Amino acid sequence: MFLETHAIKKIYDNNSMPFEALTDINIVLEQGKIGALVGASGSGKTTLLNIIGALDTATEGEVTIDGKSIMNKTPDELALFRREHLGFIFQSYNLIPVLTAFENVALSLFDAPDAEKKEKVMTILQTVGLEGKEHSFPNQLSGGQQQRVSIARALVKTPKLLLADEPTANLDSVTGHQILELMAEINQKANITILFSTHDSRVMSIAHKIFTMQDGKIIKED
Amino acid sequence: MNFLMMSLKNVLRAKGRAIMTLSILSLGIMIFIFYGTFVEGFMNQSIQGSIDEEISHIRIRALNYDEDLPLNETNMFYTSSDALDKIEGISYTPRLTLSADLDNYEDTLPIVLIGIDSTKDEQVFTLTSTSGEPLGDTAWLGGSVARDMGVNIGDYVNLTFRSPIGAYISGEYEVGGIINSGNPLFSTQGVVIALEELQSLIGTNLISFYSIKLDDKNQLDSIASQVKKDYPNNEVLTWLDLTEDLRLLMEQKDGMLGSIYFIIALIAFLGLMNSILISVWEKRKNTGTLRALGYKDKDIIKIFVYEGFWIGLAGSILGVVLGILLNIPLSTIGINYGALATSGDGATIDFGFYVPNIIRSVWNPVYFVGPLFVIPIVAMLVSYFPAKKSIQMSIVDCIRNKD
Repeated sequence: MFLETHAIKKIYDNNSMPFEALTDINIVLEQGKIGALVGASGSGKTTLLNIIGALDTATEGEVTIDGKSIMNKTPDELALFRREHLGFIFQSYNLIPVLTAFENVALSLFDAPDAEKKEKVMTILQTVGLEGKEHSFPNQLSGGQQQRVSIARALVKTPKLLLADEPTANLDSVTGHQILELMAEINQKANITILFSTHDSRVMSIAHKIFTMQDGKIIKED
Repeated sequence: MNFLMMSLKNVLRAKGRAIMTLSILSLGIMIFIFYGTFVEGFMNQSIQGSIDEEISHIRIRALNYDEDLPLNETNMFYTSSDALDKIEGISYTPRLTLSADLDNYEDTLPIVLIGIDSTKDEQVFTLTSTSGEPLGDTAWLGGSVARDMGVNIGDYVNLTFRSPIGAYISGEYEVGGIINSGNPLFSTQGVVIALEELQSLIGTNLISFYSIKLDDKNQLDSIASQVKKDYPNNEVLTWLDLTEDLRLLMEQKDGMLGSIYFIIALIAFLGLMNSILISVWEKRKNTGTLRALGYKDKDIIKIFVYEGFWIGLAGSILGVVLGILLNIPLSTIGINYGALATSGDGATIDFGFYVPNIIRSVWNPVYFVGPLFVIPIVAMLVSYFPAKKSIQMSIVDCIRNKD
């Protein structure tokens, strides 16, 4: 299996009042498939996505991506893992405001030569429909365009796993639909595994697997 | 990613805060330059003034000279100047100093009576009077002495002193000039008459010093050694020995200035740390995003350390420019310290060492170039500590912009 979690548990210790945010989470997602974590707010979708993305740590359990465990790694090792294998799309885009669209996307290419950066960034911006917007700063772009930059930033390095935390939540329905279509297209063309956390019922139409969560547990898998 | 440029963009984006921080920094650097160049100018002038009017480069005096006993015979000596005549590249002059009382027929003031050989003295020293007339058989009075006694050029004063054998000697002199000097020996205590006259009054050809001026100051050690060989029965001192107290005093002043610098630096760098800390807090969403993308902790710290660098660089450039603008009038026009150091009744305050009337700052590159290199580096070091905060917050909280 490409993505596998085994008995994930997450307990928050809020003012000595332990709160179990995730309980015994076991999910499996094959390479090139789209998975969707759905559920009400507070059900644990984002917490699980953060643990799978090595942004947060599980209290118990194990996550393996492409056969590699991400547990018991140092912060620098996790940073390298995220750099090499993962792409992130955030609900509020999280673009760096002082950088142009081009520079924001190029952030994912780290120390690649300038010529390679230029070629890859321009190509991916064209793919997400932002040709001619490379010199625009985030505040000069619409919400949909910003999310496209965010998608371009996640895809430019061709990650093995793309994690998207409610990517359409801040967009109007038309733009949200376009973004989902774009992601489905990318999934098919590049065979990239995608895991969403979402409230958006339209995501379910493009997902191969849907994990329904409630109170920190997977209650249904379709 | 070029974090240096990204940091510059961050600094430019938060203009208000950056301007406030670099203003404090540049003000601190300007004060540093002002004090540094001004105190160095003051010190140089003080030492040069002492050399030019009182001590010269090398002094020959009696063995076991006791400054507390100027009238004691052990403080006077007689020796031939033949050996000095044979040394090339020098000028020399004898001086005789005695303690005396100055009387204007109403009040009496204790003074230091200095006998000089006018002809030789002007080859070694730059002592002049306001009248511009030669000393002749008149007396020149220090500026404060004349003011305290209420006498002017053309008035008559009486000088009373004891000879080495204890006899009281008194003489009346016309005031031929007022000495306008920052040297307390002349300004607040000194009365000058001709050496020959003074020696004839005390019935001896003894002197207190031979003062030697070198044509080339780099010859100090070799000529001092030669003089010591030629005058084994005398004490031979260089200007470095004779200004030791003054230089120690200046070092104490340097220590005080060091404390001022420290306080200024502390305020400036605390301001910078605060600015970086605010920046870390404001940009936590950005740093969380960068960490999520795979940037390491050291990369994130760099962003804020470089922000410190830019603020430090801009602050030091602005501070140096302000320092240069301030130093232009200070080095040319200077500050009239003579006027500032005059007390309410018109008397000059005696600081115990040479204080030039007009203090001018110096152009020492250390004060102008130093901050351009030192401040950005120190600013980076100082920024490191608040920058570390950026990696102590969890990535998830940063991305969510959560406290």
